[in-house]
Amino acid sequence: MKYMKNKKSFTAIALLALLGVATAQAETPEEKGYNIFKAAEDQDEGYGDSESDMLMILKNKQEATSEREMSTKNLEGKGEEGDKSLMVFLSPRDQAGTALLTHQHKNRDDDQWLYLPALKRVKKIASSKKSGPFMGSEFSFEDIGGQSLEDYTYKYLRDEPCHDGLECYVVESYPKDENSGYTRIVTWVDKEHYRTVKAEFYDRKKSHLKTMTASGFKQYKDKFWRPEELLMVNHQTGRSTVLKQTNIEFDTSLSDSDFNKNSLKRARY
Amino acid sequence: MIRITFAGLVALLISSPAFAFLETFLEQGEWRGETGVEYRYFKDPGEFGQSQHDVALRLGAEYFTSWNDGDDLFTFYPYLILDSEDSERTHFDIREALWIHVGDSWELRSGITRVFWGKTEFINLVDVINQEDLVDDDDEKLGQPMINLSLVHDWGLFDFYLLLGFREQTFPGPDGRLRSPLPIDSDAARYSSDTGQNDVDFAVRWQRPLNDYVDMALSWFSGVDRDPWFSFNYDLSNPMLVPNYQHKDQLGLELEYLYEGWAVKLEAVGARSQREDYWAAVAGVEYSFYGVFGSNIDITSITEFMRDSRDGSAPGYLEHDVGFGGRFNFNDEFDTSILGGILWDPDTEEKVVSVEFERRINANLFLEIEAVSVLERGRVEVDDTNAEIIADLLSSPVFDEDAFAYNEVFDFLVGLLQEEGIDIIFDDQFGVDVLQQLQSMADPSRKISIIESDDYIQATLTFYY
Repeated sequence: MKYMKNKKSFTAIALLALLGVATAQAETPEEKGYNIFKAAEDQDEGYGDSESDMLMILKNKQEATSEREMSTKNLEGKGEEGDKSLMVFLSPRDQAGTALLTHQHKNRDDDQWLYLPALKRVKKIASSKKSGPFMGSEFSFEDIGGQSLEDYTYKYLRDEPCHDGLECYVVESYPKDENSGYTRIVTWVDKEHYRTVKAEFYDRKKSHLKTMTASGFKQYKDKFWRPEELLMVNHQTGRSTVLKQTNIEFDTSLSDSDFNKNSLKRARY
Repeated sequence: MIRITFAGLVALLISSPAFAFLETFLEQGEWRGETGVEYRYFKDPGEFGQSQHDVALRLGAEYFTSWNDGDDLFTFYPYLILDSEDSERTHFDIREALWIHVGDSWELRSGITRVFWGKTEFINLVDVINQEDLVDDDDEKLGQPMINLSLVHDWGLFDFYLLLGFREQTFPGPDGRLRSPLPIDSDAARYSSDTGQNDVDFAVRWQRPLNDYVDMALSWFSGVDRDPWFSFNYDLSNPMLVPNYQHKDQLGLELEYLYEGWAVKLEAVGARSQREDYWAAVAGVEYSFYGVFGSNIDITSITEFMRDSRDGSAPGYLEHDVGFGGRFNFNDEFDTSILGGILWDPDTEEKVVSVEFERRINANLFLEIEAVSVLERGRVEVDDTNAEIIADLLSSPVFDEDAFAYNEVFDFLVGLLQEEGIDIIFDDQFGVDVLQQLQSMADPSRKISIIESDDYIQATLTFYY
């Protein structure tokens, strides 16, 4: 975002706009990739705040093995601030009340705190833990935590039909953070609404690790699309995780005071 | 006090608006229960004839409710532990009975609760709000009645505590394991003139990040020292230690620096009481390897150095120790983890090792296994000659304060010398034993640190519903 305030790049953008059609041709694959993700981010601008319930189903090759229930709160960042989120676990029961508070930052590592109810202790999570699995699932902390546009560099690959007759942009993104568990992510973004419908994750050895597919998109407030279900399949272990999101509500009058260390401790209620 | 509260509650119940309120209150709320079965096996029979086996049952129930759109919250958590061997371990406690009112940038927490302060792993010196529930388990605390105002400010988080009443420490009884050689007579607890069970104490803590990597907290506590010192009851037919509680003022500092896989931590306190001025600190370094060898396993290595200016008379045995630990988080769906630790006192060669294993069996069952072994039992001042120990003992300032103790010990000593002859002092084995016994009798310091070397393994299965 800070680039937007930079006079030089503003001039550059204005110039490009003047050039009209010519810019579309002059756009490099890197720029086009970035612009697609920028458009996707813009689609979600102004969502304000939301709450939802989540059910995570962990599966091995054959069957579901365990479930986790969570409830989440999200608050859109104002101005230079990143988004804030609070997630609390309701089951398994020995974990009930365990809560994760995330403050996203645009130009530095996110802050994350974990509350352990048995010890009544708040622990700050090291940013290098982000590639690790989230609650024993196939989602990692970085998959769950949400990303900022500037956390990656991009490259547009091609247009391609994706499922349900949608036409998609296929864009590769490369994490800037060396703590990321990925070397590249190939994402299918639908052309009409800029929703991520599929993503393939390549690990540090550059081999195909996981594929995520999103389904059951619903539109809220005539603008914001949310998938009902995310499926993450790990190709190396055969395990998979389904993440179902229900009871999504917007405008739940959340504010900054719902996303501090005090609210983390009482997230269970 | 209890009677008044009860009468008030009845009066509230019979007034119908209050009843209507209570009805919705109870309907909206949610009960959860947990039952834990713990079995302990001790490697050796108890030195004082205690059993090698111990079964304990833990029963807890939690009630939650909220109203006013989540701005008012209430939680209630009664807790009972029943022990097959030790009647002192069997006890009931209200861990939580707390009403939280949430304001814009403040919270008022009134009632009984538990509070954690601290950063380090082996010991939390700054953590003074609650009394430790020593007989229950590590990290267990007794509920503390309080009013806690928490302010969220640009300068950080400010917590003010008014602590209403004091909870005495729990101690194993004569039939319990992990007890001091002389049992502790908690019914005979004594208080200094400026303290008591109805003390209203005060504490404040200010915490804030200093930059992206460093977190800081400063705290002040003025109240009854949660750690008692012990005096001898001077009853040679039924020798017991008596806990003594006194006032303490304590300034605490916590620092934590996190960068990539590194964590550098410090907790330090400076304290002043009637008996002593002292400082204590624990500093440590942790490093975490995430996803070792391409697996999901995280390994954290922990090294902490502990120092207490009171040396041997510090409560507990972590007065000049080094702790090494390793935590293995498997990050699997069962949340399997293993924590291994060793505490080593380089001066006395005292070594204690412990290993903890945790794993979820299914959605409602959780298993914990812990083993503790004292590899080397540190002997206090074993290098000193017996005569020096006696000299230390008699010249210790403690005897000046308490002429009664001096006379008692002096009489005992004279009696012993008359009976056994002067040579007893120079007898290597017998002398040391007698003198240690004498010391624990007469030295009104915290001899609870001489816990019998009880190696044990403990398995706990907890059922949640």
